Amino acid sequence: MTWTPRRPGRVFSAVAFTVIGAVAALLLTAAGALPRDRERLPAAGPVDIGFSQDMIVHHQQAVTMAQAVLGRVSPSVAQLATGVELNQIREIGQMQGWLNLWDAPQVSSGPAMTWMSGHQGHGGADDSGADDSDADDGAMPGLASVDEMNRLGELEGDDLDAYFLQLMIRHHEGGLVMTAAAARDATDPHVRAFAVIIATEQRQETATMSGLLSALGREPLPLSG
Amino acid sequence: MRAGEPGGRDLRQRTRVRFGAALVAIAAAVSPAAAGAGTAGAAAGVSTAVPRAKCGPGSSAETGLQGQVPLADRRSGRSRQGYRCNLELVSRYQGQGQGTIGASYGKCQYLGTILPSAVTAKRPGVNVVDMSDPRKPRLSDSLLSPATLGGTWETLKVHPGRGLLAAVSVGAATGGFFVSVYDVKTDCRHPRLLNGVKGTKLTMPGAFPGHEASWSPDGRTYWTTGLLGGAIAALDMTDPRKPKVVYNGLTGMVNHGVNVSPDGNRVYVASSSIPAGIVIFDSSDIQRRKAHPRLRRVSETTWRDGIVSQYALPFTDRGRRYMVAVDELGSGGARFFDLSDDRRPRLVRKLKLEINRPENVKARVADLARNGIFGYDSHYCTLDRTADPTTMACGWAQSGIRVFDIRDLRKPREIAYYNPPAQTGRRAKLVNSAHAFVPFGGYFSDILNATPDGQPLYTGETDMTADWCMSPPRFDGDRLWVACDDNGALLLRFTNGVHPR
Repeated sequence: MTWTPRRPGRVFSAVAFTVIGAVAALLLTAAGALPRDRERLPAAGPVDIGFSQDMIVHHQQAVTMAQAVLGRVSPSVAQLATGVELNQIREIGQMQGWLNLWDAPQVSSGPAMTWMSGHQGHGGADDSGADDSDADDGAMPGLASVDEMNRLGELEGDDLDAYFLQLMIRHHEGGLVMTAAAARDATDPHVRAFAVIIATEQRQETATMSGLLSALGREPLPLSG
Repeated sequence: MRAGEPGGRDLRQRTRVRFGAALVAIAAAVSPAAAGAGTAGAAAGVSTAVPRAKCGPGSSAETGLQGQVPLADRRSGRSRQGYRCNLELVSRYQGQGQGTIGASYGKCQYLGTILPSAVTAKRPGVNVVDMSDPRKPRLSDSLLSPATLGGTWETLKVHPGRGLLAAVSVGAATGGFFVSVYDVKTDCRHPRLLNGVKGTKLTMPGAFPGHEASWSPDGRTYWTTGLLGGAIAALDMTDPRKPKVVYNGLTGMVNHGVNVSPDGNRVYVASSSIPAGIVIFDSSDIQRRKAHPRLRRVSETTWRDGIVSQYALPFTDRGRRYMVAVDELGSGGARFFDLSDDRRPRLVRKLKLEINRPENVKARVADLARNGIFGYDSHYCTLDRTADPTTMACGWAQSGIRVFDIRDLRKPREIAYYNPPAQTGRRAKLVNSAHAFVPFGGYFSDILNATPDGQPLYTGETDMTADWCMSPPRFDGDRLWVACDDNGALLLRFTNGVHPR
């Protein structure tokens, strides 16, 4: 856990406005409680729900990674990290909103990735030493382990830049496996289109990150599994 | 309508910064979000009424309904004497007031902080109050580290078994970033920072949320939750000198308090969403320190006669598992659930004070119009023990400290209360009171109950005509250790033989 927030004031301001907005939204809806027109909601299938639940988890780790390095990486990596963070937060909000409209839980009760047909489940790299029995219940592709996340907090300088890029590239590669399945199998056309948008955006980010990593003379990590 | 005397005039001129921070505080304390997912087991028709305590000699009983500080008392100044029933004051250290919740260990109390007091307080940081001589309580130390200076909200928690005190810098509402762990076992009067960098008072920052926090019963894990996005994290405290994030995730729309089952395999997360409720998660991945941990949803229980659930506390009674769930706003009160099958929590009983009943909403709105967002609202309840408890004590905001005999969970009855003297007019001194700090006193708790076309939103000062008691009381034989925002650290003693034990 090593991260120095350079501008906590800005963070708090942003948070403050968001929170105030949430309360304002309540005030607006509390009196009349927004009616739900079920007829007009597209039907959600297990892929739509499972993809949204799992992709929130997947995205959230990218947000944590970006937050963990802010203020400690070089300007170009910092710019990339901030862009990733903002994209992923916005998309998390969209998926949380869908799950609410579908009256579906935000968090699944069973193993991850059951919505993806034929998925065997695999974690990220470097699980040695830890209890890795979760590899059997469908861990998501590209996610970093607890130890890898903590290592991100300990490194400095070029090593930190490179490791962040390596983890985020692997993260995004894993995400593509999920978006490809959702783009093909989701019931709701909005979800299918959304999956394509995520894939496009993460490919672009991955291209940038690969360039930055190459400039540091480092190689990407393999996507295990 | 004029309620009571206005607070200190010296703080009339307020900066925009303070006003803004208070807005955040209010918003964050309530911050409900859109409707959540399915419900389970919240049966209708369960009784809420709790018989009044029979106040013995030495009491100074309430003058209105159970839990009420009537408008007349607020106007006449009667509320400045407080109300007590079968509980007497043993010791009090007011200091600069305290922020939301305090903690205690041995004969010491630790007063929570609000962020601005790091600048405005004469003694910034978590004030340590030594009450070993109750006649002469004294400030023995103040904890200065990024977390304890950063506004502790509901993260300041002791693990009694290990004698560890932890806190997260919550800042304006949702912080995280810093955690501090102190050894209070060696000398509770002078806690020792364990995770300082190379012997300093600086700690290494990390990326995790903060608003509420809770220790797992085994003391190995310190869970933190944030309001926004349903953020939740687990910090490994096996070596308290090096706290390590072992889980970081999102569980819902707006998380509030968190608590952990005795075996560590369940976490109970309160929802500030609408409707109010408790979500139970399988946390065995984190308990087992898996490399790729996830929380799995076990069940979600919701209700509509309260908002902004505060937290849930698991316990057992005659071998059966239960939880008590507490709401922070909307007169939701406390409720017991049978968790024999935690996939389907079953409502057993609700506890509300008379003033919390729906027919008394008009009285509430009149009494509370000018004393801030929290009204006659429960906040944190604790038990005298977590197996076969006999007694439950709660911080009930403007109703003070309330104590119930719960030997029969279906027939709880009140046995004692202590609503400390209102600190009307003493705002200037109370720079660390989360209540006194809020520079405008509009009432919020009944937002869903009271008709919105009544009075315009009150934007003047809080009138300080009743304290906010928000802390979890700690049972210690016939005594209760507790803190209220304006009155600070309190040590109370049961009288008239009411504590069943």
